[in-house]
Order: sequence, then C-alpha cells, then structure tokens
Amino acid sequence: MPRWNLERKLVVGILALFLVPTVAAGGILLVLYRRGLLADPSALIVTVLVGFSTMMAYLGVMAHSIGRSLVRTLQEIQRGTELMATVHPDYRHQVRTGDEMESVAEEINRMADRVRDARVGLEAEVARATRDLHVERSKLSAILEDLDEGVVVAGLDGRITLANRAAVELLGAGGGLLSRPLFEFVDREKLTHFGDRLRAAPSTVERFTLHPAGGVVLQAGMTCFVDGGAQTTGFILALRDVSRPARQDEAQLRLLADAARELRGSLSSIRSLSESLLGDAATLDTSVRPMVAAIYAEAVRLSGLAVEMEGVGRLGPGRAPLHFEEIAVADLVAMSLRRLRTEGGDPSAVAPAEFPADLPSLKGEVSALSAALTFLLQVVLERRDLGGAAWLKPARRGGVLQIEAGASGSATVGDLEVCLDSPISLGPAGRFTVREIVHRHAGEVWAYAATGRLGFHLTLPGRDGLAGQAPSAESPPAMARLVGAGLISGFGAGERVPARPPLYDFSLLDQMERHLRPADRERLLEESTFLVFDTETTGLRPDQDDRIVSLAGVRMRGGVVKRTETFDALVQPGRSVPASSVRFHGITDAMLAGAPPMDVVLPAFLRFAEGAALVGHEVWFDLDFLAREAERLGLPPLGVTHAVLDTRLLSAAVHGGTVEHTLDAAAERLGVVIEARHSALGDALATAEVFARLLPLLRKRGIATVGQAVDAARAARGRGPGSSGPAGVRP
Amino acid sequence: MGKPRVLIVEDEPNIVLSLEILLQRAGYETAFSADGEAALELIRRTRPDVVLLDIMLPKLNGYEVCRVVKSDPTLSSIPVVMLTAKGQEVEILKGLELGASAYIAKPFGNAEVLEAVRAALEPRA
Repeated sequence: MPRWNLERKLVVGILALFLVPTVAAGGILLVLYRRGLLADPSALIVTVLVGFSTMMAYLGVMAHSIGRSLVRTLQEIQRGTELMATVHPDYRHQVRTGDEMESVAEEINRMADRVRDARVGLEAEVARATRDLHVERSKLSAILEDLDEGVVVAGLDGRITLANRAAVELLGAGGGLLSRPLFEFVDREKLTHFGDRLRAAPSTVERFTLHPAGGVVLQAGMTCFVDGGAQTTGFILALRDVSRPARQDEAQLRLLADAARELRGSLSSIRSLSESLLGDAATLDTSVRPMVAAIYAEAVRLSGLAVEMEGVGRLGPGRAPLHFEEIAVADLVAMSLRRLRTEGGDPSAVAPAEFPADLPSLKGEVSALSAALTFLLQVVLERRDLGGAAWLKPARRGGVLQIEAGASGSATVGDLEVCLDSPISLGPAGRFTVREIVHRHAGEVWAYAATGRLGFHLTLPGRDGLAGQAPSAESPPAMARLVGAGLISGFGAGERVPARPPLYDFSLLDQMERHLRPADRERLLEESTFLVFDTETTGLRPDQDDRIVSLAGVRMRGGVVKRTETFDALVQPGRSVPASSVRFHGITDAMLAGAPPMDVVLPAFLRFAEGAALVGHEVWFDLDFLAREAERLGLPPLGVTHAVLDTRLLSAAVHGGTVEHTLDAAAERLGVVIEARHSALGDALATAEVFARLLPLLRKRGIATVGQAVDAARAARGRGPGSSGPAGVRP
Repeated sequence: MGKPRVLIVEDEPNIVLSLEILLQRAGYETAFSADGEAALELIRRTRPDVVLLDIMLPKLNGYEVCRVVKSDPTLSSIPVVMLTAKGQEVEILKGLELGASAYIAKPFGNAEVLEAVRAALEPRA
C-alpha cells in the first residue's frame, strides 16, 4: 500500500487549504465582476466581507479537522500502548492512517510481540526449571527419607530448615523439627564448639557424639555450607545411632555369659561324677576305667575353656566406649571455660592453663566431661579466698591424664567430696554426678584440701589407656515426657474477673535487668525469638499457696507469631482449685486428675523456652508463680536466665497513660481478636498478636533492641488509668 | 553323734546328684532344695551343719537366702558355702560380705568341695 508521509500530507493539506478557497473566491469575484455586480461600491464591500468570512470559516473548520485527526491517532496510540504495558499485554494497535503514525503503531505492536514472546519463553523456562527443581527435591527427599541416618540442615542460629524422618526419630522430636532450634535437642556448647572449628576450616567434617533425651548416643558428622561470598550460612548434621550396635553387642554378650554359666553348671556335674567314679576303685570295671578317665580329662579341659570365655565377656566390645570421641585436652579446657561463662561464672578468675607437649589425647563424651570440669571449677571458685588464685592444670602421669582444678582457700575434704555426688545437668541427656561421669570414662576423681589450697584431681585414661577398662554402659535416664496437655477453650469472655491483689511488684523486673546479658540487650527485637506465655492459677496469691494449673506459650520469630509452635500443659497443682477460680478459667479438679506435676512440666517448658526472651501481659505476675516453682525444683528463676518483656508496659510506652492497657483493651485497640480468653494458650496467643502489632509501633519510636524495650517498659511503669505507682493491678 | 548334715541348695538336678554322691561317699548326710524359699524353710526346720548355696536360684536368690540366714540369730551360726557360676570378684566379694564362709566356683573339682565343706565345719568340730 503506497504511503504518504506526514510531511507530504501536511504540505498538500495546507496548499489545498489555501488554494481551494483562493481559487473559489477568485472565480466568484470574476463572475460577479463580469456581470457588473461589483460596480456598486457597497455591493463590493458586502461581497468582499461575505467572501472573507466564508473563507475564514472554511479555514477554521479544515484546520480543526486536520488537527483532530492527528491528535486522535496519537491518543489512540498512547492509550493502546498503556494497555499493552499494563493490564492487557495482548492488545494491539489498529491504526490505518497510512503514514508514520501507522508505522509507529506497527513498531509498537511488533515490540509488544517480542516482549510477549520473551515473557512466554521465560515462563516456560521458569516452569521447566521449577519442574526440574521439584524432581530434584523429590529425589532428595526420597533419598533422605530412605536413609537410616538422620539429616538435619540448620542455620547458624541453630534453627532447623530441613530434617528427614530418621532425624526426627533419632532426636526424639515428637512435634517435628522444622524451624525449631537444634539446641532444644542437643548440647548447645558442643555444637557451638564444633561449629566454630568448622568456620575456621569450612571444607572439613567435624565428627563428635550427641546425647539427646532417651539415652541414645548419636554419632554426628557436621559440615557447613557457604554462600557465594564464601560466608558460612549454616550447617548440615548427619546423625547415626551408635548406641544401637553397642546395645546389640551387649545383648550378644549377655547371651554368651548366660551360655558360659550354663556350661559351667553342666561341666560341674560331669567332672564331679566322673571323678567320683574314678575314685571308686572297687566298683569300677578296669575295661571302663580308661573311658571314664577320658570323660574326666575332657571335662577338666572344657572347664578351662569356660573360665577363659568369661574373661572374653568381661572385655567385650559391648562395654567399650564405642561412641566416645577423640578430643584434645586444650579443647576440653576451652569448652569448660566457655560453659563456665554461659552459666554465669567468670572464666577470667581462672589462671590460663598451660598444656605440656606430652599430654595424651582423650576419648570421651566431651559434653559430659566439660560439664564436670565446669562444675568442679564452680565449686573451687565459690570456696576460694577473696581475690585468690584459681587454676586448671592438665598433666601427664604415665599413660593417664590428670587435670587439677584448684584454688587458694580453705575447705574440708568432706565438704568437697559431697560436691562430687551432687547431680549436674547434662541438658537433654539427663542429670549425673561428677563421679558418675568420671567413672563412665574409667577415670577417678577425688578432692584435696591442703594448707591454703583446695581442689580436685581428675584422672582419665589417655587415648590408648582405655582398652579393657570398661566404663559402665548404663543409659542415662530418659527424660520424663509431658503428658496430659490440652487447650481449654470457649470460656465466656464476658466473665467478670476478680482484681489481682497489689502484689504485682517489680522486684522481678529489677532482678531481670540486673542479669540481662549485654548480648541479649543489644539483640534487635525483629531478630529475637520470643516465647509469649501465660498461666492460669488456683488463685492470685502465690505467697499464700496458690499454684499454677495451666501453662502455655507460643513462639515468635521475625515479628511473626508461630502458631504451630506452641506449648500447652495442664499442671497438677497438688491442691484443689477453688470454685471462684474454676468460674474464671474453667479448669476443674477432675480435669487435672491425670495432669503431670510442675516437676515434669517446668523442665519441659524451660526446654521449649531455651534461647527465647519471655513475653507476657503483666508478665511479672506469672513470673512470680514460676519463680516459686523453679525455686522449689532447685532451678534458677526465669527472670535470671531469660530476658523478659511485659506487653502491658510496652503498650503504655506506645500509647501513653491516657488509655487502658488491659489485654482486652490493648487487643481491641490493635485489632486483635482474642479466641479463647482466660485459657492460658488463648491468652498467650492474643498477647503474642498484640506484641507483634506493637513491634512496628515501637520501632517508629526508636525502640529497636531488647534493651531499649526493657528501658521503655521501665519508663512506662505505673502509667495508665487505674495503676497506682509500681504496684499496678492487673484486672 | 551322727554324721554332719549338708544341705545342698541348687536347681540343677545333675549337680545335686554329683554333690550328693560325692558328699555321701565322704561320710556326710545330705538333703537338697531346688529353690530359695524352700531352702530357707528347710534350714529353719532341720538346721543343717553346712549349706552349699547356689546364687542363681528360683524364687529367692542365693544372696537373699544368705542374708536372711546370717541376719537371723538362731541360724547365723550355720556356715554357708556359696556356689557361683560366674567367678567374678564382685560376686564373690558380695557373698563374703553377706557372711558366707567360702565360695566354690563352678566347674569345681571334688577335692575343692570336700575341702570347703570340711573347712566350714571346722569351728564346730
């Protein structure tokens, strides 16, 4: 199709615009002139005026029409292009002007085609890649699921991002492993220790053992993975149950021992009877005598064998420490000092240890040994003279490693020996005394108290000194499992709640602040893990024998409430629940009949709370109850071991003292619907949602770290209607 | 003055037989019991001069029988010789701690048994 370009069109148009009226006016004037109609001057003027007006009108109409057709086309192109670029990628221009504008429109159409093709290609590529990824992932999970070995992938913070079924079973993780901290199941110090070593040499594999609950011993292989910038971003643990073969060997050995015992019994009869026959010369026929003598000789020979068999049984591999790992003494000492710091001790009070070159290396359970050493250090540090020296001295004595943990000070041997028999916690593995731990390693430990010095000597066989020295293969006791948990829901939200007595003081807040570690203080709220919790109780006076009947919590991370990560337990309070409280929370004595006592629930709760800051609404009330329970069980108060935040105080910090800060008021203000008010889990979930919505508001006010939140809460103490100074009453 | 009476407490019939033959020929009178409870009953009733006591017994094991005998003032003077099929130091020690006067490890020779019984009877002779 022949095209006119826009310029030619314009020239022709403008020429036509002027030529047509000029020619028309000229023709009309000529005709009028020939007819003599222009002789009259007035007629001439009228004619010229009429002609000029007509021409102007014509010019105006034509210019408008040309311009409009141009602009319309441009508008059409603009509108169409916008559609293509936004909501309607398949739209195409239909411009048929035959000029450059049509070309532009067609060019845009072609460009849109190319973009569409590229997009379709990209989508196909993405779909293919996704499919491939899916296939690979399915293969990987099929392989992982089939593996007898447990595989766990976790970030540097210990949070699990991938785990196979075997890992769930090996770690005894009933509720699954995903996004839970690995430290909930295994020794944090040990993982940190080997993680640090790996980061220094990322391409290696660290091998060690782990001791989760239930007495299982896991051999772990740990590798780390790095991102593009060679930064370590997480690690992979391969886990294998090494106690199973040991247990099987043990069963075989037991069989062997039983067989040997049987054999010895039978041999006794044969030997004794044949010997009696031989001794009875009068009745024994001379032709039979050699046969009886042969029987007797065989019985004696077999007796020797039976005794030897028992010797083998005593040294058998089932008793050998199969799962023990090799460790350098320096690493053991470093780990003990780190554990000392974690447990609130001061490692700088211990003089730096010297490590003679001839120290034997060790085989053992590093967690247990370092915990034992840490405990011994704590004992000597507690008893040393004010400002006196303390030391940890490893030395070689023959094939044996001896470590002295001592200090300058005075004590009695009896006092120190008692400490060797007091149980210490090995995390999920259970509680053991130092003496038990040392005996498990075929070692010995004893206390000394000389003039001005006190301490312990701990001897352990060197790496090669263990053969045949059977440490007992006893299993640590399984941790008690939590039973009888259940959510009490649907309790009427409109119930009038009795006021709490004014025992809501803040001494626990002061205590928490005193113990808040700098690292916890500096942690960003958005990067912290929180455990938001609540309790229901038999009453309001923990100082007057009121106890907890229900304890529940939910975890929060990255400002998000993890509704699948909850803890919810009814607790046997050891007393009856008064009717006034039953009306309040709906928990009756009958419901608590099969519930576990706090001795079981609190340790489980503490495991669930490990590594998290605690959050609650008027949390100091709940904490007062928990602190008393912890004291009863010989555990440290939660306010000492965890950072604690109170949503009531934070609400006051954000919204000031002119509005209510009850849980109901704060929830309503922030648009949180409370699902099961006055059940521990329901209130904990509501508090968590309130806290999640307070976080961005706190950030706007420059409160970004845990420490800043604690300070803001302290400043907000006593704010809010109805509060009377520090002893604000929670309705 | 009759023959010394030996009570054999053992659940293995052939061992009982061999001990009976051995001891009877050596001039002892024997009785036997195959479980711990019956043995205690028999000891109280017949007051034997020596008890040959196996450790692994049905109902009540040899340690318990020994403990009961030695803690009962009317019976404690009866010497007890333990018969052990394990021969491990801890067991022997435990038996002696409980008041047994000797132990015989299976498989035993006749001379050992006769010597142990004779030695156990000696203070009474």
